[in-house]
Amino acid sequence: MNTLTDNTIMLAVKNGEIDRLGLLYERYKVWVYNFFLQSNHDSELSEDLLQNVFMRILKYKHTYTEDSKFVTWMFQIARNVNHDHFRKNKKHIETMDLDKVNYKKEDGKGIEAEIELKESKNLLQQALDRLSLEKREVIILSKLKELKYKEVGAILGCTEDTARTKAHRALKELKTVYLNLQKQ
Amino acid sequence: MDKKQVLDLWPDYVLGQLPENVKEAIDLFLENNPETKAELADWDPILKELDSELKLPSKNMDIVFYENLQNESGTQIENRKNQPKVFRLQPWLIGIAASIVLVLGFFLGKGWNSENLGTGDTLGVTHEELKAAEQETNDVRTQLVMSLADQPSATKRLEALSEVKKLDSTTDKVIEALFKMLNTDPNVNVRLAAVTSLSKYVENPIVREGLVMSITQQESPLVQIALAELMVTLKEQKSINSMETLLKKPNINEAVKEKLEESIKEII
Repeated sequence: MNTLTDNTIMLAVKNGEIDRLGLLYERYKVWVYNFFLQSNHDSELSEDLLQNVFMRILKYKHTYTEDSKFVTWMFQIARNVNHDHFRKNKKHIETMDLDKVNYKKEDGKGIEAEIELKESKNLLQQALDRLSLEKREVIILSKLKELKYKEVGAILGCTEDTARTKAHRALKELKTVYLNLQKQ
Repeated sequence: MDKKQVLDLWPDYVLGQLPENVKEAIDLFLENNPETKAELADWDPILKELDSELKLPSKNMDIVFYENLQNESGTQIENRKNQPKVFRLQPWLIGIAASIVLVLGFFLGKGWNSENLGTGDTLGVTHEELKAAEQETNDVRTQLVMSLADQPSATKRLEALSEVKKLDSTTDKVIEALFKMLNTDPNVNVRLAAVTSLSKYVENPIVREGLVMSITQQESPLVQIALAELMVTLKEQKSINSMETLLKKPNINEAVKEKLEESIKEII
């Protein structure tokens, strides 16, 4: 289809035609939503984080330059949003885990609940959850259609070769964790 | 391709980073070498899971996004209004303006016509690209109208009608949604706004006919009067029958009765 490039649209947004951001949103909402969803498995939270990304795009539109590649720039923002959320909620997540332990001891039904949770939760999701945020992100980004190592590298702030090495290492670890979970 | 190459490339294969021809070469190798395929079998569930379809976000996410965008757009307009009204041009803008004047002057001097401009990529953006982008904007806005029109809140449905005004061209789906609002919406303000929106498309015979038919379906005096006024403006002869039918209703409002009689006279 013969349409304006992302770059042209983003430069128009930068010059004040902010309605045009709707076009970029329609092009990339599914990608960005899935980037978050695969990282946190929470659809509502992923939608909120996606809104944050596009609001930040508007806020920082003045930093976008003609040489930027929109997808790369957008995912850099998405990563920052993801990291900010992770940092802010780390304490909360740890507290929640402790609460779960207390609950198990009190009513003795914890093991059953845990089995149910294991069954319902996808094994791959569990394996991804056990990786560090950066490793999880490198796998999710590399797996997103049309993002090649060159772009992944640009998003992560490293070279194409480094991105490839990081992705290979992360994938190897994912497999080990996955197989361990399968055995349990 | 040999086994070593396949194993080296395997992580890239799993992550979908390989060009189609390399991927096919690996598939072929595995088909012909079952022992290597068996060696890699424990990757199968991971490969399957990673390849699962992307999930779609909810419709509500679009509504929130476009609301935020509209708010931001409003803030920007406010900020512009508050700026001192002094015409200032940045040096780079003067440069661009001068270039545009020069380029246009060049084409005009050469006697280029609009057809030539339409096919060439003279200013970096072709005529087709601009048209395609406008079409895309229209499609996005249509999608927004359709999402808002289905909302339980009357304010949201009114927002849908205000978005309709910004559409360059409309689709049957949008017209259908507008008639649905006009004929079935529980809120009288939405029905009135639907009359205004539909009045933009009266060149379309289907819309005219729909409006005529809607006259007898309306219960609210305000909407009945609005439709009668529109029929007078359009001098729509076909509406006379509908208005007469409405006049025969036993519980008709006095003000509406007067308006309808007056309108019929004006149209005749």
